[in-house]
Amino acid sequence: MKSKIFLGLILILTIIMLFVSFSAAETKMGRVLKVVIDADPPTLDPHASTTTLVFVVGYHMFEGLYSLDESLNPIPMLATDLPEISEDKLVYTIKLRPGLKFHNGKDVTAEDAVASVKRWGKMSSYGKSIFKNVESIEVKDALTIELKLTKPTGITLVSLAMPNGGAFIYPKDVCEKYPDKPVEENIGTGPFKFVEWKPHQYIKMVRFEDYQPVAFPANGFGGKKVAYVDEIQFIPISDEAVRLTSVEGGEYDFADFVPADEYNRLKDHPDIQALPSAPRAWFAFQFNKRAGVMSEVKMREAFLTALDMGPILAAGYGDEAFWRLDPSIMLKEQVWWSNVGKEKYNQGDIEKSKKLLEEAGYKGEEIVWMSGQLEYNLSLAAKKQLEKAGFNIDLQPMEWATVADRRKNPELWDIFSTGMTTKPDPTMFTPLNPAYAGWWESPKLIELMDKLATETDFDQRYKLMEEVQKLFYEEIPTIKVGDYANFRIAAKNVKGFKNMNEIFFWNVWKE
Amino acid sequence: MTNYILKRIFALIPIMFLVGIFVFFIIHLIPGNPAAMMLGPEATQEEIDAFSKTMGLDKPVPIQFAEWISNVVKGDFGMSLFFQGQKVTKVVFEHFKVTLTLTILGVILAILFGIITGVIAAINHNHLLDRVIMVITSAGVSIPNFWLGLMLVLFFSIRFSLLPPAGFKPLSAGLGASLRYFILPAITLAFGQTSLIARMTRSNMLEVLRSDYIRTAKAKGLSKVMVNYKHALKNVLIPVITIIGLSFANLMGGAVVTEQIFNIPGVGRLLIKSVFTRDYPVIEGIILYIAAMWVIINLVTDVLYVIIDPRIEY
Repeated sequence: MKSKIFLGLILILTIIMLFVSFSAAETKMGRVLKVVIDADPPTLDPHASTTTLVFVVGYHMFEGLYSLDESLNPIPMLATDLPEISEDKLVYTIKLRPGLKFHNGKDVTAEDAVASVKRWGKMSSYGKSIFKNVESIEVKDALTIELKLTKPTGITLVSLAMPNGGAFIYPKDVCEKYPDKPVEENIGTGPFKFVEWKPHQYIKMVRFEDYQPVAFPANGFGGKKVAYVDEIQFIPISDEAVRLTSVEGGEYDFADFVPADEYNRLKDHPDIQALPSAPRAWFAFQFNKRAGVMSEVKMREAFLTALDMGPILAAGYGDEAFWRLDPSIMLKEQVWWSNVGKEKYNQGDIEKSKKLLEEAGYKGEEIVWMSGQLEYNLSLAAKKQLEKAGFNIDLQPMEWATVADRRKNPELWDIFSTGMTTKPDPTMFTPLNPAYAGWWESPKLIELMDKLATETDFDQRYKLMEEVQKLFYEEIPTIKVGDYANFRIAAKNVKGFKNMNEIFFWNVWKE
Repeated sequence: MTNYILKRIFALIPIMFLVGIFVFFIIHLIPGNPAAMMLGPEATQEEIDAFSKTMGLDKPVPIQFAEWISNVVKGDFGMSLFFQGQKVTKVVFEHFKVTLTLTILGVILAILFGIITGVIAAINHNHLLDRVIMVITSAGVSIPNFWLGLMLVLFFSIRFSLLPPAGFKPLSAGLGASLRYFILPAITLAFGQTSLIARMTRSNMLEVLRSDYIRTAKAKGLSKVMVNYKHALKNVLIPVITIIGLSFANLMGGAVVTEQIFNIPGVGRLLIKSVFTRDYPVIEGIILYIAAMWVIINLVTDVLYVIIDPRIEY
């Protein structure tokens, strides 16, 4: 009798639980999510631009063969599994998941994948660097593609997987219609499909009902994706105070890049979730190494020696929740992190800096420093410290378009301020690219980077990266000031948001 | 009169042409490259140059100008460099509709409150009411838009959740729903203009009230209301209309600050954004549009003078 009651109780409980979980699942679906971003992206085609917003909006609609997990390592997305790699490490065989559909209803085939990867190889910065080393890419059968390399490299897979300038898969006819210009038809395989882009108003997308999620659970930028909300609107607001008030006032649900000064006021707010992001980049002073006073290594050493990074970062990012002192080129969250060169970082030693300046034979020549508006506070704080050591700095605030234009001419500047956004692999990282403005064209670096690109064993590659970092603190092509995060806020009823270095809204619902 | 209007409309052509040349060369003189903005901060120069070429930006500026002007004459302002395959005319028109709504609302509020308070102040010259109105309007002229806008948001949206803090709904979403979004921005816009109109109305009214014909009207035994509103007010309106015309033209060029604070997709915001991203065709389109607006609104103002004051002839 007792056991019957017990069984009965269990049955009732199970039914209740089922009911609750069903109704929870039901309430998760639906509603419109309004996400505030800081500008209109210049295009929605991630092949065409490395601007962060392009892929942040884009990867709700587009997916690649691979994606990145929480530690930014490649995981399969449209591919069934990681590629089969031949023994000589030259041939990658990639199988697509069967039954995948594009937003236009057509099946995803190997032809689409090949056309897209080829287009990416022509348009994207990362694609171009991979394709220098690609012998061929071909359709093997309806769902299999084969990528042949001319020499082994350790970065093919991660390049195919990263979202920034990523190898997203479009239908073949779209690739053919827009061979060298950004696509104007946004057709992908992602959990949301494109509806409309009204410049300065919104980019609207709705749930893609035929979406085929992968079998394994959500992980980083990949894994199982569910479009809980019916519709997402990305709304560009350029003023950071307005981004804040628009969510605080209840008009929108989520905003990225709100003023970090407001963190202390908002962290216990009853209606707002205050979400400092994971560190996503580091702040940098980039030197001109082709011309001018800063092309002398000794000068750069004096510069680095004088800097006390904490106050500089605090001037720009406020509360310590938003910045972190760290000497490593790659972030702490990545497998590439290293402590090499830490004794040179964050010294704040004015006396030593003075001595170094003397050794360098510096006679007070004017140093032209270009800084965008966003970076101005940090640049100013650093300037104050450097002046104590005897640097004569002409800090010129200007809007970013002007910085981007002037920096190509080495006669016009000595330093500019910028952010360096995380990349999953050091070979993709901007400050280590000798062609990037500032031109770190050291033969030693080029040799090390070549080795890094062709080596396939991780332990060997890590050792090489440590050597790069050692060189970074010897030649000081760039000053790493520190890591930074940005401040995001969400309304209390936004659930399921995964606060990584970049934002995404699959698996997010509204209560 | 018709001749006059036609003459003014024809005068638009050389004005637009000059503005066009001027703007084209100015924006090509400032540093910056749309390709660099599009490709992102981490692009190398090689990539930027290659992309400039596909966008046709590598051609010499005079050739770009010749191509542009010959298209403009045909009514083709080109495509936005930034917004996927959208025509400049379409982008500007979309933003123009929003600016027009906001401007009309703002100007109506400004005229209504400006004239009423101005007249009240004049009639109660040197009394308490006059002083209070003058203090408020002084504040109205001096308070910057961005501060007033943020204060309104703080009170009406964040403190009391009465109105949306930012954003926009088109009229097609329903009049009520759309108006809700326009109330705070319209007040922000109107406050300064109201004060200007009120002060202008007051000083003119005071002058008129001291004139002979008003004394005569009063002596005839006309009621105060008749004297003030029928005889005096009508003669106050000419300079006031000039002010209204100016502020209308000004606002039609985009209320940059207000649009920014309330995130309203109007012409002002479009202009700012396009300058930051160096979207040349859009900048050129907007400037030509603003120039045309000034000419047209000035013309309308001049015509209104004739209607209000029959003594004026062209």
